[in-house]
Amino acid sequence: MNLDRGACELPGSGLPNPGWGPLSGLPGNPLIWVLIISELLVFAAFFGVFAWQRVLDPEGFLAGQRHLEPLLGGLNTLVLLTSGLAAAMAVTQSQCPPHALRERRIRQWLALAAVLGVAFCLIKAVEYHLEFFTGPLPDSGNFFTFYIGLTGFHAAHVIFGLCLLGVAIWRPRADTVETVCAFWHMVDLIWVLLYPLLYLVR
Amino acid sequence: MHDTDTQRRRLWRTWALLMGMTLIAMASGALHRGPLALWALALVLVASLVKAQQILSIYLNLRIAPASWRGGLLVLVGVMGLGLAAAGLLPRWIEAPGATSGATAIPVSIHSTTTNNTTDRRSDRHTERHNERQAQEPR
Repeated sequence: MNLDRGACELPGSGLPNPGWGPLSGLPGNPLIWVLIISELLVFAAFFGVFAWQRVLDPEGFLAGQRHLEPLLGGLNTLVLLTSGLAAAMAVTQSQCPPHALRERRIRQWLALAAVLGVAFCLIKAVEYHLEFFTGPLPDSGNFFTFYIGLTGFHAAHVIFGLCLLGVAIWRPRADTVETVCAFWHMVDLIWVLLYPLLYLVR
Repeated sequence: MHDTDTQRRRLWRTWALLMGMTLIAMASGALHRGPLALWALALVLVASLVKAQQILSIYLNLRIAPASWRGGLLVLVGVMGLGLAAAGLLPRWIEAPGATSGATAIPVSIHSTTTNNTTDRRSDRHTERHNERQAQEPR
C-alpha cells in the first residue's frame, strides 16, 4: 500500500486563520491551540510538583522507578511517534485539492494513526498488568500516585484523541483533519516529556 | 509555494530523527538501574527537548506560525524541560528532610543494590513473591 504518491501544491503564504486576531497565525482551528496551551500548562505544573516530591523522597521515587518497565515505556514512545507521523502525513494529504483518491489516502493515514494509538493503549495495559498484578509494589512513597495519575491522565487524552481521529476519518475535511491532528501531536509531545520524567530521569 | 513531496520528505526525516533520539534515550536509561550518571541524564534531557522541539516545529507545523508563537510555545516546553531537569538534578544537590548526612540525598545503599540486569530484577520479584506466599501459608 503506497500512501505516499501524488504531489500537489501547498499554500505557502498568508495567515492560516484570518480574522482570529493574535491566533490567526496558528495552523488548524485556533481554539485547539487554546486547549493545547492549557494542557501543556497543566502538565508543566505536574512536572514541577513531581520534581519537588522527588526531592523530598528520592529513595522512594527511585524504588518506584526501578519497578517500572522502561522497555515498554520506550516501545510506547516509538509507537506514538510513528502514529504522529501518520497523522502529519494525513494533514499534508489534506492540503491537496479535493478528489476521491485524496480522501481515501487521508482516511488511510488517519486509520494508521488510530491503530497505533490503540496499540499504545494495549501496551500500556500490559505494562500496568506487569507492574501492579504480578508482584508486590515496593515502598515508594508518592511515586505510584504520580505514575498512575500522570499516565492515566495522558491515556485519557489518547482515548479522547482516538475518538477525534474517528470523527476525522468519518468527515476528512482539511480543517477537521488539521485540528484533530494538532490535538494528537499534543498527546505525542506530552508523552515525549513524560516518558523520561517517569522512567529515565533518576 | 512548496509541494507535498518536500513536506513528506521532511516528515520522514523528522520521524527518523525522533526514533533515533528515543533509542538513544532508552539506551542511556537502560545502562543504569539506579541513579543515572550525569552524562546519561544530560543525554536524556537533550534528546527529550530536541524531540519536543521537532514535534512542535514539524509535526505541529509551527514553522508557518509567527515567531512570537513559536518562541512562546518553545518557552512553555522549556519550562517542562526545567521540571524534567529539576527532577533529575535537585535530589543530587538538595538533601531530603530527615536524610542522613552525605553528598547526595540518594543513599549509598541504593547505589550498591542497583543492578544493570533485568533478569536479576525479575529474580528479585520472584523471590519476593515466593517469600510472601510462604509467609501466608498456614503452619
